[in-house]
Amino acid sequence: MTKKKSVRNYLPVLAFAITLFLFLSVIIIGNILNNERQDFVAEEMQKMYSDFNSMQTLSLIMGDYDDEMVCIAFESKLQELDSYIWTLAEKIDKYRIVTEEFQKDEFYLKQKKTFNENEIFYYLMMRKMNRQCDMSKEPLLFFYQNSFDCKKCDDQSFVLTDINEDDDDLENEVAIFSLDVDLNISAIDMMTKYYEIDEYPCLIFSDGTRMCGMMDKTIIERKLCEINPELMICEELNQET
Amino acid sequence: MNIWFNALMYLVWFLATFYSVYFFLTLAIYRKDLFEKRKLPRSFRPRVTFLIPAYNEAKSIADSIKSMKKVSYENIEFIVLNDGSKDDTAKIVIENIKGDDRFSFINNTDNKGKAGVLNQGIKVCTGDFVACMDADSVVEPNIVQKVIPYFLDKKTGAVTVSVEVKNPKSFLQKAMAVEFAIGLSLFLKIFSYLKCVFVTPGPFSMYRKSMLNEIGGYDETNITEDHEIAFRVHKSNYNIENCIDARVYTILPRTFKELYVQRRRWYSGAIQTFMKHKKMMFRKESGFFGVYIPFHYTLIILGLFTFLASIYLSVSRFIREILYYQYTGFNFFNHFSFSLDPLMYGRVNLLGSSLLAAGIVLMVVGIIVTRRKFRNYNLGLLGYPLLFILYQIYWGSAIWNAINNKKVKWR
Repeated sequence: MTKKKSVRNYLPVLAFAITLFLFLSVIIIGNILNNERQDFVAEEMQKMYSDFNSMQTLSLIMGDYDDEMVCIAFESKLQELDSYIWTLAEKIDKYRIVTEEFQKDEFYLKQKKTFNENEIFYYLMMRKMNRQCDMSKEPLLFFYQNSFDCKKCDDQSFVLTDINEDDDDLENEVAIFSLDVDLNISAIDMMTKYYEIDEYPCLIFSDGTRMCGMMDKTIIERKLCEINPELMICEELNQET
Repeated sequence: MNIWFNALMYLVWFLATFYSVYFFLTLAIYRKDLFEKRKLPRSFRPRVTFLIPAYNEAKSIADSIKSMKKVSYENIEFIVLNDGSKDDTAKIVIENIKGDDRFSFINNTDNKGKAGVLNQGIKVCTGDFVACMDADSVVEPNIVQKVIPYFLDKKTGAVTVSVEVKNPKSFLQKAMAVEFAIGLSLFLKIFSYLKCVFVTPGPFSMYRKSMLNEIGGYDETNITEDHEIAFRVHKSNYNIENCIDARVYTILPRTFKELYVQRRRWYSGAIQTFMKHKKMMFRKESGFFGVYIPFHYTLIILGLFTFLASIYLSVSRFIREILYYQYTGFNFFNHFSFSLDPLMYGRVNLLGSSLLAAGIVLMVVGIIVTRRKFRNYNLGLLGYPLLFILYQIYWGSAIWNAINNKKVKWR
């Protein structure tokens, strides 16, 4: 009993040491997961670069080779890219939230910047191919700010996710490009000036129509169908009405 | 808000883990002694008095008396104290104790409160040791033989026993049965090793009469007299022991409303007691008790803040998402995905999950080391973690009442 009593005196120190060990283990596991997340994002971004490079190559060889073949290859690449680019954007955002517990993580900020720059590239490439290959992919630009300065931007993002889900279930005909104006990317700044955007969220349709402020799903879908009545989502919209 | 919530999570995790580790280490050291049987020497047969305060206990007191009649210790007296019951308690007591001269009955027509009648009993009883027992509880026949040897140590002022649930029927009672098996059995035992038992449960606790006289009996102004007296036992440098092997069976609230009334009293009484004895804290003479109690309440308050912050964050997120759906014609299916991504686990999630895991381990270990059977609890094992959500609400209500100086009555 005396031995136990003497051991008992050391219990607080021992308990503290074990707690500290467990705490450090959680921190280390957390760091491992952070690294895994960063590796995953970096890998996916690399995949995206590679796809963009392929598209750029296809764009450059257009005119010198069989345009029809190039267009088929381009369209297939576009479909492939479209299938994961939205998910990647979502993952970057979610992983950033999970990782950033006390301060902004530079890695995700950098990735987001690169991602947005590539989105503009992807958008421009798609416009070009739409013209040259007579493709019916409908682009939609979504300009947004952080949720503190723009209370409705998250709401608008939710609506666009919903439209994107509907579109994925059908023919994947709409390509939504989310552009964060807080990132100070010169191309995005230039586009906001070009489209004279002074209110967020703001949507720019392929015919140049600007819709700023919160728009619900039906309004956006109606506008998309007005521009391109061949879209599959229009069939559903017509059935509903 | 999220940064504050994260910081709070880290702090709560550290304190709660330290608490759990401390508990498990103590358990590991003393695991073989938990059910240690203390021998009752032939020369030690002190007189024992059972005090049974009763207020409107017509439904349960007959069973209680029946169990007392089976108590096999010889040098004993039982005093039933009516506390101005408005039902047939007095009549039932008289009928049931007839012919047994170990029993006596004090029939108060006015209501003195539980502490008041217990003090009345302490004054008139002839025992060297006084067992205070609730009128809705039943005891095992050899409870005195198991408990009394602990008083061979002159420093022992009180001895608690394992509080079990009598015939748990509802889901709530089954969940509480698990809570009692751990909280009012194993925890009390571990606390007794650490000299920080902070309650001598009302269903059954035995006291040294000379100590009761020394500390002036129960505090009649306190709504949790069994909690308050424990503080004064420590203050008078006596120890509170626990005999895990001795059991008392008590009736628990059947409905959430009854549970709320019970816990509102317990938690309000805990605040009342803490405020009364706050000067005992961090004093050398209070020993480990003076450090443990503030730590315990700090953890409860921080836990409450964490709970409120998580509720606020979850509810605001839920409302925000519901509002999102108004823009999409309430199409819920597009946003449901069941893919499990382990990378979505951040440090705060890890901290939360490890606490939950520790809680489950504690429950399992608690049932095993106290030699209980899992099959006796069934659904209660699932309900036990849910009780913690309820208790946060009840703690919140008790703190709110204390801040607003609102008095909570015993009944």
